[in-house]
Amino acid sequence: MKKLEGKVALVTGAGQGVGRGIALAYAKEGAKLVLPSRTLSRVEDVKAEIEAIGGAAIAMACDVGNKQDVIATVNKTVEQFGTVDILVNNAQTFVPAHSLVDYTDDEIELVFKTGFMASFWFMQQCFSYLKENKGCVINFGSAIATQAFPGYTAYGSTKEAVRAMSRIAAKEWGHLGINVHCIAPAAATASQGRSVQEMQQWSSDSGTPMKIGAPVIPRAGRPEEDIGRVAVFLASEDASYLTGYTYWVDGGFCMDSSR
Amino acid sequence: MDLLKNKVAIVTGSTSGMGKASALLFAKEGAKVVVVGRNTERGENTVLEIKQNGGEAIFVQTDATVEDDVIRLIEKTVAKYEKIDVVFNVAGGGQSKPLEKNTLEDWQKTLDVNLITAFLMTKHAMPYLLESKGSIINTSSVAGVKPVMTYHYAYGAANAGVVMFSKTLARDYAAKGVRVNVIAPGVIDTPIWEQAPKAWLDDLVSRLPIQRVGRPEEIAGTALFLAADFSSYVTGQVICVDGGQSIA
Repeated sequence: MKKLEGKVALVTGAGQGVGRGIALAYAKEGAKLVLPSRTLSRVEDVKAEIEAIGGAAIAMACDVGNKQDVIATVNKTVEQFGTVDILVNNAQTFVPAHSLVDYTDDEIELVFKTGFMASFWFMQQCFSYLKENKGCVINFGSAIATQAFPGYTAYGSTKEAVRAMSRIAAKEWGHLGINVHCIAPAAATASQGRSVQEMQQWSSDSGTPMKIGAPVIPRAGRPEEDIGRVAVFLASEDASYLTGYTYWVDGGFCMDSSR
Repeated sequence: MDLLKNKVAIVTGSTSGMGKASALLFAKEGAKVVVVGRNTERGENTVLEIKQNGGEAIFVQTDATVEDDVIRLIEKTVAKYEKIDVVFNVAGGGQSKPLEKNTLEDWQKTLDVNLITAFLMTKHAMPYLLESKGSIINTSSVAGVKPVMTYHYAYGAANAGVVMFSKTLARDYAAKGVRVNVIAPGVIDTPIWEQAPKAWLDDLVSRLPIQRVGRPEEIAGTALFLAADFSSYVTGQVICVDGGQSIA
């Protein structure tokens, strides 16, 4: 039997990269997918990929940084699929790496809104359905935050805020049967590639020393096989006694980070 | 599902509790399982149950604190199944005594059962795990991750030792294709807790985000994840299967 048979999974930012990898892995395990994204055409492509393997998906235009969009997305999900079992808050807008002193307020707010507020709004909107179904939430952390990468004030801080919210929700919702997890992935995606390039450029321009380690598994992560399947495990019955933790799915890049 | 199809898995401490549940689940997912423990009757029963469910297993009576036993276990496994893909070291146990009552013998015994077993199994299985690009799962405890339990000096130390041993191995063996991870169980419904006073246990459970003790099958579920390709990019990690007990 498939691990997520019949479950309704809402995965934000599934147009590319890790989000798409999770959506595909979920579809292969029998989940029905809801794919909200700012770029409708991208999630429509992913929807087609899912349908081609016999799965079901809905693509929706949604700016996760807009509260009304988030509310409408959850309402449409419930109209079409009846409920929500699994919430995956993967979407995140990035800004280029800067020194802390060069960040503008707008940049900090944009990253925080699309990362933290979006996760918060989706958790609020989905709560009653997750409670009914004893569902789960998967949020995202990052080694960039816990390993303190220079240049990433906005993103790193946002991800730690998300992890704190996830731990608190895990404690509030544990007795209700809703498990809350964080994944801190490292995968070969377009946004990771851009980040690495920008970071190296900024490091050299600003004269800020930066030596990034490498994962001990000597290859890049694959969004579907390496990250997506961990998300399957966390959403499945096999993870029923796990809640509140962050899972470092990064080829062993982080072996000493917080729970 | 066939997450461990054609894999050979050794599970120590699988004559009862978490080890047994894991052996059963691994076999259900297609693995050939080597059931390991000191108690022959219970070991044979685990094998019987696996076979009744259509699976494949053998029992090798072993005291995993004895190096010769471990060597023999590996030899028998390879003689029967030709390879080793997964080693799940569950064997462990503790005792709690006030510091003044802790003896050197208590400490040696606790270190042997919890940490030395992991070392011996890893050392002797590693050549085969390198060939198969396999997965090692060691078992620590919530007590090896944070100071939860009064008087668990040796147990806490030994289990913390398992964590650092495993992470160091993970670092060194990743490029060679072997993953090493740790499960840190919380309070799981197995015989080890039968001695604990009920009032104390009830109080502990009331403080957990997930307000109940865990089931051995829930440990097995995480072990399966770590044994299978689902965790292909996960190494050097400690997964606390404890209902959220270790959030802080």
